[in-house]
Amino acid sequence: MRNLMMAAATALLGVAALCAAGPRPQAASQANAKPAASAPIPDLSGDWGNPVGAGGGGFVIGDPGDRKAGTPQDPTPYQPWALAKLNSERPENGPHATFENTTDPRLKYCDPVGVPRIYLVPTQFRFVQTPDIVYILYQYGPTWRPVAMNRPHRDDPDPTWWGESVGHYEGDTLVIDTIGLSDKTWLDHVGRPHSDELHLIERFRRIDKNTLQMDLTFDDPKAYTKTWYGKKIFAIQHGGFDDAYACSMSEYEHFRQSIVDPVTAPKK
Amino acid sequence: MKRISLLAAVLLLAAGAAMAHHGTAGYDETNMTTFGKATITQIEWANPHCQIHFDVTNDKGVVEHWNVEAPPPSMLAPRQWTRKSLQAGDMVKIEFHAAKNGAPFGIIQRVTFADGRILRAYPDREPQQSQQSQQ
Repeated sequence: MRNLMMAAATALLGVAALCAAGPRPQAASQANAKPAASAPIPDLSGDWGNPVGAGGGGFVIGDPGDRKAGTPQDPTPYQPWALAKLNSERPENGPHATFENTTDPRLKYCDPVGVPRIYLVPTQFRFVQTPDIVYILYQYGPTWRPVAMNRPHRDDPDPTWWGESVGHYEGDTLVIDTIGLSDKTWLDHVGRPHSDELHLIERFRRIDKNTLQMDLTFDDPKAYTKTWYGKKIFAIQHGGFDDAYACSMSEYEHFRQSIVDPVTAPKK
Repeated sequence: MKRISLLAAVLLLAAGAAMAHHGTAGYDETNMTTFGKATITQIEWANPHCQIHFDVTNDKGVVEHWNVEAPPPSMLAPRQWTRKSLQAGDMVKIEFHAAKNGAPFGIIQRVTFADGRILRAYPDREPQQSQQSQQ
């Protein structure tokens, strides 16, 4: 029934799982490619979030890609160590979902989620497009991320939570090329790992006034045997962006004591 | 007290499986628990999840204290909730997925006020099959 439910939801909304290894959306281009000087800048304005509202979506409960993570049905091309690491985690989503003793660095420590996991957190984001830098403002954190436009990466940047991002436009698409990502983050809510050699490409294209498509390319030979791809659809949001979602360990601890512990206690 | 269970089969009209950011392994997602007369006792408007405390009187006349989690304020606000939407003393109909272990906890789906107004915490999941009374 769960599969049927999700199939229906997917068919209705066309929401693709971020982890789905699908056909290559478009060839990953060079990050330092320069657009024609007169090329119009695509309008990505608006607050973007999950199609069903300000929250939810992404690797949700029952998502086919989510439920397969680490199983023989999972098409993700893991290196052996990456698969072993995934299956050793204690995430609160996916086929090994558990409420107890999570190893999720976000829930355990309020660690920054990095990219692309930030897009799975049920919150909104907004682009601020300037000629030199595209800023992405994330409601979760709240945090922001600069994308330096039309310039190459620095040489071997130090790994950080958000990496180093450079970008350019290809027609109606904003292409963001990111390296220098710390391997402390998970790619998603089920715990897919990555190495500090992850090369991530995000491609954002406004399909229509109210819809934004993100295509992802994961290139990380240390963690995956070949390049793999994903995509996610976002919908324009109406309200709520200004209500920041801060990750607070004290608030989470209170929540754990008042909800998680009693819900996970053995049945009496 | 009327406790109603909506049987497992639900059709996600709006991919409403999006539940909590932390997963829902501890909740019975296949059944909806409904209390027709719940008295709100406290609202915690906080991250990572709001909490709604309420009392219900069971068939034996004993008051039960319940606590259900809700989305965080950043998700409730676009769904027309404010921190004052529910206040101590309000009597409402409340629908939620209860904890699997039988503890008086759950994750809320929606609230219906006496005047028929509905506040949804998550997108509706519409029942595909019949309702079944548990009590």
